[in-house]
Amino acid sequence: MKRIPVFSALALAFSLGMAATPAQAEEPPRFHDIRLADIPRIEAEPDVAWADEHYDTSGEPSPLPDVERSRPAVDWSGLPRPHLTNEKGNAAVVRIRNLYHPDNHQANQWLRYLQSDDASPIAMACGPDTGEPRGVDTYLLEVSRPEGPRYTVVEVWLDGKTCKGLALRRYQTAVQPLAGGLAYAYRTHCASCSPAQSETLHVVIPTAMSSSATGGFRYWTYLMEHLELPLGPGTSGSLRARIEEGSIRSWNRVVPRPLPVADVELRIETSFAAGEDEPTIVLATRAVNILPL
Amino acid sequence: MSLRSRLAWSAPLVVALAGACTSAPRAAAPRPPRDVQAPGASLASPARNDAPRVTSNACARRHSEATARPESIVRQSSTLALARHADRTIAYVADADRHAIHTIDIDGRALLATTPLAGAPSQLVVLVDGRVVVALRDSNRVAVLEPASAPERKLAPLCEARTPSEPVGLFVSPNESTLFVTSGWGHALTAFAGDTLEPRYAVPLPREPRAVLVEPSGRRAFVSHAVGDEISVVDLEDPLHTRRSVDLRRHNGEISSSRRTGQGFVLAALVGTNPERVTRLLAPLVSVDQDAGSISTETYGSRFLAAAPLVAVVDTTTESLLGRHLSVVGGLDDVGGPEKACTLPRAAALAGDRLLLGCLGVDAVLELDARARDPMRFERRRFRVPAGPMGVAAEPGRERAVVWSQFAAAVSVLDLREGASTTPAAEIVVSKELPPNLSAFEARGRLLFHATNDPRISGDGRACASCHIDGREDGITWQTPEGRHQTIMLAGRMNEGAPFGWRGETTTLRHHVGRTMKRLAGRGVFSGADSADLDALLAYLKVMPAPVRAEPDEARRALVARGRELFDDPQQGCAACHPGGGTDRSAYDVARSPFRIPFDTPSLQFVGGTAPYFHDGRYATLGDLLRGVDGTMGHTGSLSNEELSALEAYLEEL
Repeated sequence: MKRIPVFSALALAFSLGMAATPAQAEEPPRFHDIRLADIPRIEAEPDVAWADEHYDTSGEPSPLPDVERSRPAVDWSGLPRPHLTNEKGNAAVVRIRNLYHPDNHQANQWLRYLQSDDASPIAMACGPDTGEPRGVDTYLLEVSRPEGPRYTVVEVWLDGKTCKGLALRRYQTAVQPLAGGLAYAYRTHCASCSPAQSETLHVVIPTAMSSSATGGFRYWTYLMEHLELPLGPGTSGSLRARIEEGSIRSWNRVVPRPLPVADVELRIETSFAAGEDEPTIVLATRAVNILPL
Repeated sequence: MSLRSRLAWSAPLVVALAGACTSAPRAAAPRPPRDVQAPGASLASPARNDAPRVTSNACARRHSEATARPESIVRQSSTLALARHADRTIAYVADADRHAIHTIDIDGRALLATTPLAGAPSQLVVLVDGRVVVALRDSNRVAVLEPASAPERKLAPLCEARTPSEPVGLFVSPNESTLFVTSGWGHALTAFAGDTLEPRYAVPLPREPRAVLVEPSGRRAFVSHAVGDEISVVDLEDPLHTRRSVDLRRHNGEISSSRRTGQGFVLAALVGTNPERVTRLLAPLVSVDQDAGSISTETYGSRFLAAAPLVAVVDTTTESLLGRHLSVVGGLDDVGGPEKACTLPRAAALAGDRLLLGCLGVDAVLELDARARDPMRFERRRFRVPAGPMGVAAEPGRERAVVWSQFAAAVSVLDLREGASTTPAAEIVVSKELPPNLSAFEARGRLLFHATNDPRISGDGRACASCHIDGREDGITWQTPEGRHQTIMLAGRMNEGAPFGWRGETTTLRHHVGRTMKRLAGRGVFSGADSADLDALLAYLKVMPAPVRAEPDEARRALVARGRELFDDPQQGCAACHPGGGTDRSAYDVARSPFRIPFDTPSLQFVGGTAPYFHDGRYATLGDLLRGVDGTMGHTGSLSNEELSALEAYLEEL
């Protein structure tokens, strides 16, 4: 399966430049094709294997595995800092990992995320009296670069007392706009991971009012979401996100070509049967009505 | 199953089937269909007038004239199959109501011929040379017919063979050396020699097998089940034909989920880059929440379906679900709400990367993206078709599909081109008259029985046929206000009279059906029109077709006779409450619960095909039941294993 169907249908709203209204009927999805090879692919290390025991002998939390402690110091230049806000007009997110459950999304809920958005500038304190060790991850989406859209991920272990961090994982990749810029995607390949975990699709989208992902991971903030879906053999994953027009409006502040403001549903499914040559990605979007809360 | 028990099971069956192959087909249907002759078509010229050719076996073609032949080979059966004759597309339709095969000119929009059959055809398939193989569901046979050189003439019977009870699905191996037949009530996959219909072997399967699909290499057969939580995988290379299964009980990653699956009537296969290997199996199903037997399933923030449609995708290499579980997280909105949800899938065909799915209830053919993780959630569009779509066949090269709607007795042609209308490009009604065995009232009842999203019947779109699959039961023990109760089989049992319900709580069928609708959060019956509909539904319940069992062989008959003696023996006491296998219309505290709840004595008609057993489904097999109820339901503790087997055999024949 060399070609991947992408059902890019910002059906009524995006193709015709019209906004969905509450009275508007929900539209069926439309279909487009993209090539798997068009989605950039980079090598990535396996995720940090956070220690199961969360307390060391002195009672202090210490989930960072020893093997990770030789990582280089993080270079903050070019990255959004927790106390900076949207200074370059890029979408950026800073995520703080829960000290006791650094690998557990559910345990962290929304409290683990900060965002460099004008609406909610957040400063993250560190210093001799205030700091604890913690995981701080940054996600930076630069889609208006002349060289093409780019995405940067840096996972840091921050020593709160010294305000210095170890760069545990860092990569920078080109990203492929999907569905007219509603989503940006790339792939990571992990040579040392199990076959099922060897390949992952990453999708960055505006924050959805409701979304669910099966078989992957989902990080969200008030500005953007980063979703991971499996692409390894024998795996499948699905994503369904309903994105309100308010999120599109925020998204339009960072993307080069504004999207029509409308409520939109995005669906992505990945699947790769063991007997196949490569994974299949199916993507659909359609204008929908999202009832206000 | 051990080798010994497998051989013990299959050998008598093959022996019984052997010798049943005959070149003298049974007489045609006693009541030929009415109003099925196209203008100008000549049904008076039998195909046997064609010049016969000396053949080595009865199933071979008898004339060498050009006939309609399949343009693209479809080895899997349906109620409808396509062939090409000159520059015309010919559709053969298995009309179960009229016991006939219709020959239809799709391009000319005309019914060309109707071939009466000796029984109700379930499905058919067209061989490479144009011969038609048909399964006769209620006469437990498969038959081979030969088309005449002119499609306006009837098909001529060539040969036929006996099958286990209720042949349904067919599959012809790539070289046509083997014909595979699934038998629903007989729960078996039988292999016949493709050229002679001599039986080769039979493989026992779980309940209610339907569609069969053999991978191109011929190594494995995949079988869907209308009831149960699995897809059977039969190893055809193994001399013992070992059966494995794909477990469909994993929902949302939880194997202990209360969700079950059912309605597995069809299968479709995606072939990867290796043409010998099917990489994905697409199995349209319904995922049901057995804890939602009586409650409204509308919950805050979202509406979830107690019966949620999906297309399970099986990774055939690993023989497991692709992604390891079925996802039913999306609820109603993902599948279009109860008004659109395809909860009674009955027909499927692949057109390139699109899965065409025929759905009863909504009376639509859904065009789904076959490459999705769950194609049901990637609907491209849907075509409205006449009532009762039971068969669909695609003509990919012509970007069209043909659909057979059994209830409306109509064939419709769908234009699959991008942007084309979703109303059929053509409709060909094969008969405007009612089927011979169905009154207008009963026909209305059949529509209602399969009606999804009727707010009178249920609050979440469930149809009667959702739980009473083919008028039977779903093998599910539902949570109800009175505790966990099994669905009861209806077909063939509705004339036995009151009381109704596990507790015998209602004295009329009308009251009981109305009560069930209320329990399912249906609006119930209020108006005069509603009342007439309820009467129609009740009328259909009493005539819906019951299973027709294949004749047992002599050894089996002896075993059954011995079982009957034991059943009637006062020492066992079975017949005291189940006289003649029926009911004494009384209630007993057979569960021996602290609450001393009496349960109505159910009829044992067709009990052999309704596992699991007891009101709460606690016994997986009849054998378990007989061993488990000693002292509370008769006295079986003193019986030997042989005697228990005989008793079990008798029950299976009731």
